Amino acid sequence: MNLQDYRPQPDEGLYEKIQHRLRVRRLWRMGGIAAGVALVAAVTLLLTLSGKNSEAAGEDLALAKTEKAPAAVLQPQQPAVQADEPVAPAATPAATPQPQKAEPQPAIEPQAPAVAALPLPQVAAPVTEAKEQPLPQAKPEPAKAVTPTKVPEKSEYSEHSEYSDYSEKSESPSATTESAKGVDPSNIPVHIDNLIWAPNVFAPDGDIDDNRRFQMRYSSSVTEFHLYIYNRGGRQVYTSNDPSFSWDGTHNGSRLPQGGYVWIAKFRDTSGRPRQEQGTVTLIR
Amino acid sequence: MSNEYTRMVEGCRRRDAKAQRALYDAMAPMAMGVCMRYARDREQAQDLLQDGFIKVYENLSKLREPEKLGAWVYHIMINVCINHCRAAKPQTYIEDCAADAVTLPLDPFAAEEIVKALQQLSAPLRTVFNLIEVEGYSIEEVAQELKMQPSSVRSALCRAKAQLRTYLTR
Repeated sequence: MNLQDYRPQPDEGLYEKIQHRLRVRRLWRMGGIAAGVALVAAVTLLLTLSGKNSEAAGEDLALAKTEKAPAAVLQPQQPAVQADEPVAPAATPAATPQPQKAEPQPAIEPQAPAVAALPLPQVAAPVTEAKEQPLPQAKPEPAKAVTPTKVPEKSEYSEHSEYSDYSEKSESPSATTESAKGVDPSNIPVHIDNLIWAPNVFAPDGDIDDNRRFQMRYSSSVTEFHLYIYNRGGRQVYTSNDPSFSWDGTHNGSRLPQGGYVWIAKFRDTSGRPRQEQGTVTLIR
Repeated sequence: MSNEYTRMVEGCRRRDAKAQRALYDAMAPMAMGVCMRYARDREQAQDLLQDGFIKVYENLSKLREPEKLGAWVYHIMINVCINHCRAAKPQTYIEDCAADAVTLPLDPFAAEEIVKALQQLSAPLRTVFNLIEVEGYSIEEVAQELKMQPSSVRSALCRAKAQLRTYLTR
């Protein structure tokens, strides 16, 4: 049959289209993997958090904490010295609850009395592991520590103070805060250059006006803006050169089905550098 | 030839852009020929060709015998075309004529003419005709592929031939 030898040439540029669709499909798969990883991370975080809460209810947290605490404080010497200062005045009252806490722990027992004595003379030079180890125990406020029933609460407090330490350290380089302490965390201004903000979901038929169209916001002005939106098959369904575009989820006048779409935005930032951002948006019908 | 195919496939597996281009250049006319027969027009044929080549590139790692690349691509293209036809509503044809009753001498016509006539048929008729007359499938195989009754396939083939004849001799 002569039909089998029929060899028409396809249009020019079809190969580029195929390569483009392959790239978009690869992007989708990577996006799927990233989403999966993010999901797993979120779930494990939730599990560990809830696990910690339930542990806090049980008494054995006190044990677990004291075991962990030395490891956490051991690394640098500065925190130990810093911790000394607030603790020093509290050291005298703390000396009384300490033997109580040390009791369930035979391993630290011999050290506990030694430490109770050490902070008083404030020996700075020979700060040894033996001294550092029980410090986190002495950290909690003495007022709370006096009542023996609040043992799990104490460890919670020590945990919080650790957390606030970390957050202060990590925020200070990125955020512009005059003083890390005493500032409402919700008011800390964070400046990120040329951040594109795009919603990850929109609903053209929804009740909420703001969510009916897909738009972007920018932290500073962008130029030479090009936006492309693709469906799952890698076909381009929307494009715009206007940064203040708004897409209603249609393609050539037909309403696109519910599902995920990839967007790619190319632009120049305020310093004229070419940038490319990409993400996915879910269309809900 | 087969050596060339092996080299091409190995290059593609290494994500070598030149090899990918070479594979496309070598296979596109043949694949386009298949798609043109199954599509209603050139546009649709190119859509099918794109889908087919995406399958080819993404599944190249599963190709065990690179020297049979041509046959493999050919089958992928046919599968894409069949799937496209299957996506349409399954059709039933009343058996109103025997398939063998219509003879259709295609030889005097150029391939372009036949394809042009084929493209005027409805999608199921076109698919049935292609699978049986060009690809050499049996009626039972086509019935299974397209989820149709064998009697419907026979009838569709007969209609396709009859319609083709009118288009070609007009």
